[in-house]
Amino acid sequence: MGNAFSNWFKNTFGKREMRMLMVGLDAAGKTTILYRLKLGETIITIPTIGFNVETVEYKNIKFTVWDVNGQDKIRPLWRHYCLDTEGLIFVVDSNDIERIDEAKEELRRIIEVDELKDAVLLVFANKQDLPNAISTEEMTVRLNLDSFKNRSWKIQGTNATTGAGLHEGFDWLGNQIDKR
Amino acid sequence: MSKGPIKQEIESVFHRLRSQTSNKQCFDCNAKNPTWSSVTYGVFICIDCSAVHRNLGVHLTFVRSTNLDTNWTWQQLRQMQLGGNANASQFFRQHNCNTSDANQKYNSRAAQLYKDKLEKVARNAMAVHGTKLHLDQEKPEIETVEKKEEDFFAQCDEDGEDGFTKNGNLENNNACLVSKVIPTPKLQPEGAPSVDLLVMETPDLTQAALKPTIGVRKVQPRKTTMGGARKGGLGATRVKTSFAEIEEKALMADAKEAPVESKKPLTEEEQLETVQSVRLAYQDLSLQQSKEEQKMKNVNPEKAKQMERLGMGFNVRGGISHSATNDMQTISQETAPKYNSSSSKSTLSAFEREPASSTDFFDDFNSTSSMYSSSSTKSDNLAASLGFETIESIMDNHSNVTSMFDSTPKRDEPKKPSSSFSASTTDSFRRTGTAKTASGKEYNTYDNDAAQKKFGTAKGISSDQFFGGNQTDTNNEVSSNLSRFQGSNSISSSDYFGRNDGPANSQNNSHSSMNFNAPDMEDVKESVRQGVTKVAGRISNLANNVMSSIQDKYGY
Repeated sequence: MGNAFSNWFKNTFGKREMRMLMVGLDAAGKTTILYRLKLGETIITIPTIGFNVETVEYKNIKFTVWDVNGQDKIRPLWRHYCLDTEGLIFVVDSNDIERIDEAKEELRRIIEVDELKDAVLLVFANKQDLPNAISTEEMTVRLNLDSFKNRSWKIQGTNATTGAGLHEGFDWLGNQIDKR
Repeated sequence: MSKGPIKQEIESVFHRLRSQTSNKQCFDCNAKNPTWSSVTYGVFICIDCSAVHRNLGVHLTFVRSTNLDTNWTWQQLRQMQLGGNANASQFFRQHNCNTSDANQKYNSRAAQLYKDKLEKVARNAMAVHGTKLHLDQEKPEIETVEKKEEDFFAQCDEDGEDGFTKNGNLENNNACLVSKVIPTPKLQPEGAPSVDLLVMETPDLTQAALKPTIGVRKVQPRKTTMGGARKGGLGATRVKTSFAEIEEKALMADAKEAPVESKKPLTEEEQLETVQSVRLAYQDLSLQQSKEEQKMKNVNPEKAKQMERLGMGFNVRGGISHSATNDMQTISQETAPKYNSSSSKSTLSAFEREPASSTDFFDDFNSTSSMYSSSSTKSDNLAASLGFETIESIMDNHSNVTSMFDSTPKRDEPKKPSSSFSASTTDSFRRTGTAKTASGKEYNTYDNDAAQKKFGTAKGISSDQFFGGNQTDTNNEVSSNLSRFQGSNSISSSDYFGRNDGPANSQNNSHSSMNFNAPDMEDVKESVRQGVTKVAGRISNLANNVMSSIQDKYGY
């Protein structure tokens, strides 16, 4: 219990920072999520060329979120953003069933990067509002999340345009940082 | 064609495509030199419009960059080649879709038609040309291949565009078809003015003509007899298009029927009728299948009725002819949103009751299964990956709807009896319209209901919950684990799932998650844990209160 109490003190009196890297296939909704968190409103985003970085404060935790380009030409560069990253946010378009396998591959590829070996993994199964979206349970299977046994991960169904599910995900992230 | 085109090929394709004047303007806003594209419609758009497209979702329009994306598939390239802004805008004009509002435009029937048409044409082109490319690629070295490919693409562009624009006019296409079809190898002497071309290209092309399946060749003679002899321009080069044209004609025939079908979705009853009639048509097969499944799973024979439905799930997915699946597709695409919206509204749905006897459930299930099956027919890939849906009984008094996803087919079959972790009576069913297996792991049936409730309603699943037992075993010391669970207790259950449920319920949830993978431990430590979790939950609640009050005070 002492551990827990000390966490609360940390919670209360210390502002913590967490460096997050947000990746995912193109058009998964990364930028929309980022600015939904930052601005609290939905913007229409054009495809990211390069990256966006914003600090988002949520429940006493300063999340520095790097949102990088998802086009596959740029994906090999993702690993260069991984330095000092404590958490990886992987955004996947639940509606894009044909590319889930591609997403799985990308996830596997980046999660194996050495800098991320201690990072927690938060998967946003985005676009849950769209008609063909698959649920989080199925996404868990399709992304092979159960193979990540030595990593704490969470999959969260989201709808970035309304912001539904985002805060639950970041709650969990905050919770994870408490445990460190 | 597992291998996609290489980078240079993609570049050369787009270099050529972008040089066409019609493709130098954004399809939506006429901006200059667009570099993005909607593969679904084969059009070039600017980056701003690509944002709009991406907002619509990939089920309507799939956006790729022509220079940033390097993993184009052949099918996608074909769609770009056979599409193009000119064809698309003409088609939209012809179908009186002149709106500039993207949402309306791409939700319209014209868009739907054009999408399907383009996909079919591209697929046919793949069937004819794709194999040929593949063959060529293996023989000579890479450089020569590239040159040939450029030729080929050029031809394909021209031919594709000709055919398309002419045939875009549904009524007049007979004449065009005839003229296009003529230049089969037999008629070449008559209609080929340029012998050089023939000499150069004939070996390859006859090969190409021979390569396609017999079915394709059968069609040709029929067409030629119909057509009579008219000149074909380029002789052998045209052979390739003739296939596309033939296919396209078949497509036109489909398209003529399509309007009738696609009007159907407007009434819901009709949708259900068609779904059911299709289902009935395949009942025999489904029965057989279901029986086999039954044996495999050792399911109670009394549930034979449900197994019938199960069988339908199979059949709908596997055994239906192409046209039938097309029906399913149009229906379900309309069905899906309706279903979701209505179900999300409903607080009491069919799934809350005992589904074994309720016809409502049956109907609902039909619609959901059709939704899934149709989406699975979208592509061959998908059919394989989405798997099937079953209804089976796990508990005595619960018949559960389980959809097993055979993205892991091997795992599926042997473990079916034990691994069917299902969620039939839960909220998730109402929300998503189906329940899925979370994994192939073995879950103890003792906690099955609780587990169902837990993961069924889950919008989020975390590793804590997934490997609850394991972490207790392996990771850390007991106290930190307790705090972990206590943390996940207050967060995961009360925050994520059971907002409306009281703390008691959430404790149950976390309890079940802890027991999830560890039936043995559950036996031993159940009572201890219950006590601990209760205490921990209370303390955490108290602590949360304290914390929030402090936060309020100090404004953190």
